Amino acid sequence: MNAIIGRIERATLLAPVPESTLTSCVISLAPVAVLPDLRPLPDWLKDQKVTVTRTVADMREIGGAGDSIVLTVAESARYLTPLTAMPEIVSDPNTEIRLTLSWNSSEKPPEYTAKSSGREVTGQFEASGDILTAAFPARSLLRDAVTRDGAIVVNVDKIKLAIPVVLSADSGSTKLTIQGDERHRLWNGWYALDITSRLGGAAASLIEKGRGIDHLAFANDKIPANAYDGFHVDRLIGAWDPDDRLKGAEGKSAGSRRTSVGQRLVVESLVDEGTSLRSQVNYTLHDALPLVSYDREFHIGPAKPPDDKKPAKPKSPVEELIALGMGFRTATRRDGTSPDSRVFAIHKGVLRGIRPIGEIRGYASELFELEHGWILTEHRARREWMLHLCDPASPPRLGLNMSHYSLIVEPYWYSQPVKAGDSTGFSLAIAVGEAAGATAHGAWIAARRALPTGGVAVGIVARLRPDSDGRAAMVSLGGVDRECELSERVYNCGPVHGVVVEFPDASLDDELCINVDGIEERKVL
Amino acid sequence: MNTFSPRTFSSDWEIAVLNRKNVVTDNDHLAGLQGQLRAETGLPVQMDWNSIEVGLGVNRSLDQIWNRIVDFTDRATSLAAMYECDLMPSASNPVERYFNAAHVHVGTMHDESAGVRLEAALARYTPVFAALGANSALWNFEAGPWKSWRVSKLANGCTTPISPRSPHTAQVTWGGDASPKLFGAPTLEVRITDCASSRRLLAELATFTAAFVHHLGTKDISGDVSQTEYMEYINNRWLASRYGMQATFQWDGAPKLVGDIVREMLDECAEALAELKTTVSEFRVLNQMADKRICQADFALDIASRYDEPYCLLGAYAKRLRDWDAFDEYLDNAAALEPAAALTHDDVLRAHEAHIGEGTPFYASRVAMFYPPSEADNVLDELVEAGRIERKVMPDGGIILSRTGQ
Repeated sequence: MNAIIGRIERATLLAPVPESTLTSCVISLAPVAVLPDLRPLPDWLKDQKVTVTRTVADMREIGGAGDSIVLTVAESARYLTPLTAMPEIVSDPNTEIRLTLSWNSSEKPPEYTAKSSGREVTGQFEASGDILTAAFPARSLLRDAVTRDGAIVVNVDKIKLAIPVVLSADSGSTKLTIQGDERHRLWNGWYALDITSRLGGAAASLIEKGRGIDHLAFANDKIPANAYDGFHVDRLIGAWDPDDRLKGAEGKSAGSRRTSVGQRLVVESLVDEGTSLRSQVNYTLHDALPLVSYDREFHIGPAKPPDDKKPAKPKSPVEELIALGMGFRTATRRDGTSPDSRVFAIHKGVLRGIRPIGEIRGYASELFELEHGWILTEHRARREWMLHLCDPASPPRLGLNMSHYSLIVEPYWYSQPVKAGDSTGFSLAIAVGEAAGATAHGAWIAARRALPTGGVAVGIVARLRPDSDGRAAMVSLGGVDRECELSERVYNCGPVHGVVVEFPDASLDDELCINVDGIEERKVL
Repeated sequence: MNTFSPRTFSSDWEIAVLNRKNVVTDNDHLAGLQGQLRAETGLPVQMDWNSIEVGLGVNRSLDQIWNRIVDFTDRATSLAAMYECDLMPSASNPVERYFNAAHVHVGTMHDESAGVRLEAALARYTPVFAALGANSALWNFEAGPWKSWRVSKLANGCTTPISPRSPHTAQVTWGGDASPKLFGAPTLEVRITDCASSRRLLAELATFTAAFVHHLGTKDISGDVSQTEYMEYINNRWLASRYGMQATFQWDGAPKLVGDIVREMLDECAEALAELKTTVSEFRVLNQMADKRICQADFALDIASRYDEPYCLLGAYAKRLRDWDAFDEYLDNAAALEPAAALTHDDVLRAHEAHIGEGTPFYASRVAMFYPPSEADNVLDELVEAGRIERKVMPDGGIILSRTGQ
């Protein structure tokens, strides 16, 4: 979904397209930046020339030397992701790794170098039609006795690809590079979660492994309208103008470790040097439930000591105040069908289904507090649901927008008065799945996973009313009915109700039917 | 009676400046170009939001404004090119949310009371100017269905439907489709017109608008507008923004092609045109637009039909606009378009229904056609009675609407 904008060096007309008024042309260009947010080029494209062929009705629409030109996502793909590997993740040391190179800067097939576990192999690409291919056995790099999860790093000139190696059970973490974007991937049997070092440590991908669906995936053939699209991001909310400081914050340090709850990743970033505003986000991918939770913290550095040489003007206490508004934004691809995607939330004790036409802001959102701290996003045509769980003690206000491509859930908290040396933040949990339900009583979401020993586990995550006694659920998979009880766990985002039910003889394709404490499953169209 | 003396006119033309990263140049940098152009041309070149806004001076003839437009655009183009930028004269941008206009200022007017009465009388005609000016079909990742997203969105609050006023109770207004503007230059301003891409069209449309307003200024106008007349204005405003020159307006209770109305208005103001040293036959672009039912938005949509990716479309569209006369060439070669059907009551219901999703605050439906409250409420009542929407009063007293069957 990223694309190249470049500067035309030469545009040459070729032959007219038979039986049409169109003409084909070849455009030679120097890449300049990557859209949508004009990010710098990956190293391998700097000072390079690339060509595209297009059919056009009028060459004036292309322009000439010195003009800019935007390549489509499809035209850009071979330059932005020139090196790919199969398999994408190595889980068997006896596998053969096949490399494909769709573009390189030299005329002749280049060499590759692959490194892991202190070993290194080199080889030559060979031409295979329009592309170059190479292959090597993973075992040549991986040592049985000492190899743990990690990565095989392949270099071809300036092009670099990290192939995750996942030999351990079904959870872990690794680093990835996707289109030059450094990411950490956490995974377990339920989900695989990619966290980018950009945007203050945003979630770039959340894959429900049972169905192999990335709930944050953007329309693959389109350049996003917004650099935030295709991500779950946190945001600072400006008092009047937009506050994009977190958008520009690069994760300065990151690290992951296992805890008794699951896989944990911390990303730190400097948000604003002037006010020494730093941010830290710690994600936990839970083992016990299909759930991701995180805490976003903002730390304002200490006040600068007075400069003796330059007497300061006297300050009123209100001038020491820093207003810090916060929120999060999840853009998920809209169904675009009728009826379209929507959300559910509780307002004044009533379940509200909301399918916005454009933006819901101002008066309509100011009064809409997300009671009990949850909002459920529904893409019913695709059977994709996402449940956000916030602290019910301080729930955010509703923020919602239906853009051309996406349904955007963007709740926010009112600005808080903080001062130098203070910290603030919020906590959130996210669950995605293939089934969900919502009433004024609460909301739930369910996902399934394959069990390592065979069979299927169904995990349910819910937020039920605090005054509710009922926690019973009925789960039916492949015609087998199971009654169960949801237990309550309390995290920083507040209470999370959940249960995992195992079906040893079921398969991932079996029909699933769930009722949680009288909250029926949303019907699939 | 002659409300305007001497008879003058101008246009405030808002033009974005696109750099070679396809990004609209912001005001901090535009200020340099604006200052240079102001100093060189002697025209009141100003800035609006991320756009240069050139005031085209005080004009008394079609030739005068045409020559000013050509001189200004030639110089502005070469100055922008020095900074690897292109001027982008369009009312909208395929990947942005801003709108640009080409307001027409009609002078010289010192009687504000007469201006308030003229404002009401002009309401009937502003949709005609909107149809001729429609040039914002590519906006915010959308290509159509509106020929003027700008008018349909009230130009983000900068061109709002006229609320007829009485000189005895009127207060100053700013952003109506048309209104007297004596606090600036002593003129009546027609704001509804989109930014023009074609230099020739801008010259002709500004001259025509001025001549017609001059002509109205010779009439004895009461300033009273009946509800029927007002609803025709509001419906025609919607039709102009939706269909541009293909629109079939409601005109004195009967359907009428907007092109036919343009020709009648041109004939009606022939004397005023003569005062501006021109004749109907000199309006080669306007006449063709009326004949072929084509507006600038159709040119933009033609390009859009070849570019599925909005960012690529922006590049292609901007490169064609910098030719200045691209629309004129398109108009010369294009076949006439079919007229759109006349507005039906079901169109009105469907237009309102389209702004109702699920749990929609009731007031959000007002933007559908900007009907006055009593008419808008009647439409909602009818949709409720027909079972097409549900209306709920929430515990806090708010009203929400939802389409049924979803």
